[in-house]
Amino acid sequence: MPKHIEYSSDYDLFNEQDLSLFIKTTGIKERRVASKEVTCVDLCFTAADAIIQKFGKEDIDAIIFVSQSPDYFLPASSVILQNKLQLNKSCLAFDVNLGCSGYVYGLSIVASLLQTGHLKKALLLVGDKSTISTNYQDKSAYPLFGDAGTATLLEYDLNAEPWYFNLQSDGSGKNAIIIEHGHSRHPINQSSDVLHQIEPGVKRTKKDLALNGLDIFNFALKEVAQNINNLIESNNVSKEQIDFYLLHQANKLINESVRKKLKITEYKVPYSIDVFGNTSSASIPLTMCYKLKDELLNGEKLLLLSGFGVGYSWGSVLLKTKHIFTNLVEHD
Amino acid sequence: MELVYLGALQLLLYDLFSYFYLMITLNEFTTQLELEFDDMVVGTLLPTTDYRTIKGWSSMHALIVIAFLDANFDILLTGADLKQAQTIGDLYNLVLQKK
Repeated sequence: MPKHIEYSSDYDLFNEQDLSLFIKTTGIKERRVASKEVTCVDLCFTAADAIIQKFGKEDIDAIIFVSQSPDYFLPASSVILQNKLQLNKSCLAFDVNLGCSGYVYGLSIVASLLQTGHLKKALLLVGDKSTISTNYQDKSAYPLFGDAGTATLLEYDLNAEPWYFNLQSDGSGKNAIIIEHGHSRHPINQSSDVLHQIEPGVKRTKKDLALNGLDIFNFALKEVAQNINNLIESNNVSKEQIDFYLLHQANKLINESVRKKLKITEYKVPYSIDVFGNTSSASIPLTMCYKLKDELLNGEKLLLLSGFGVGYSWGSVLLKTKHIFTNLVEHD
Repeated sequence: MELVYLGALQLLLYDLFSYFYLMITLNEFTTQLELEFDDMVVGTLLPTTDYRTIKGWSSMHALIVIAFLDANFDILLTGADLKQAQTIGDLYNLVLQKK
């Protein structure tokens, strides 16, 4: 993640009451923000390079980049990364345009690719530079997001236990989190840069990220616990058997509401949002590295991962891990 | 006098009904909701309070209301529901309706 830290207490548009309420509802005290010239590709490259230094790169057969802040509209950033990492030209590479649900969806894609046994290893690169899209004058969005890029190396193992997924979508929620202008539906035009006041303290242009907090909150409370319950119940597993629940880090109030609905103890639901903010698809692997380094390295763990948000797109996975090495790397 | 008596009886019966249905009176509901807001002076919220006129009321407060109702009553309110309700009493009635 980037070295530079921004603190919620330094945000000019918060008075004392705003700050207190913001930290109470979101849990965010600080975030990592990448400098202007650093992109999500750079952050993922740093993470992937650290993995390659440790585990080698010869038999990496696939590289999948999941992000909503690629370097360019085209070419795909995964292909750029294949070259930057000097991977074999026989490597399969493509991008996936997903945010909050991206890590879980990414795992499902890689699992599908690897399960036949023809591909041996795959790199899943996941993250966003969300701060590039938020307007400083929008206090409903700017202080929420942090930047991060992650890399996960997955290997085909004939003896591994299956992973179970429950993936869902609802495009009627498209306007809950959206950047309206800048692509095919609404190309950049004269109105794109006009600053609109949505409400006091919330100003943005059509090129900026627009969040409808209430709708997102409502969606998460309605769908996430149910999605997790359905996954657990369909696999004859009890909630108590699951060692940790890794929920996407969008908002602490959402996650606490989901935790209470599922009747899970606090210990089993680790957080990283207090120090990293909402890092989009990177939030789950970031939490694993930040909070569960020792637990994941030592012994087997049954994990439930759940990503939910922009789209709406959401999904959970139940998977067993064995001696996973994790590491947090800072990008200059 | 009779009408006043009947009106008072009606309110009492209604309050009793809602209590047994929800196991919480309107006053208790108001007090519990107020406790969710660390920054709120005790006694700020009354059943007749129009919550959007409370000083400093924001969308963050709305999220806390939604979370409170979801956790305590298993009721999910939308932004549209909140816009319709004006007072804490309206919120309470909304909970009754949805239950």
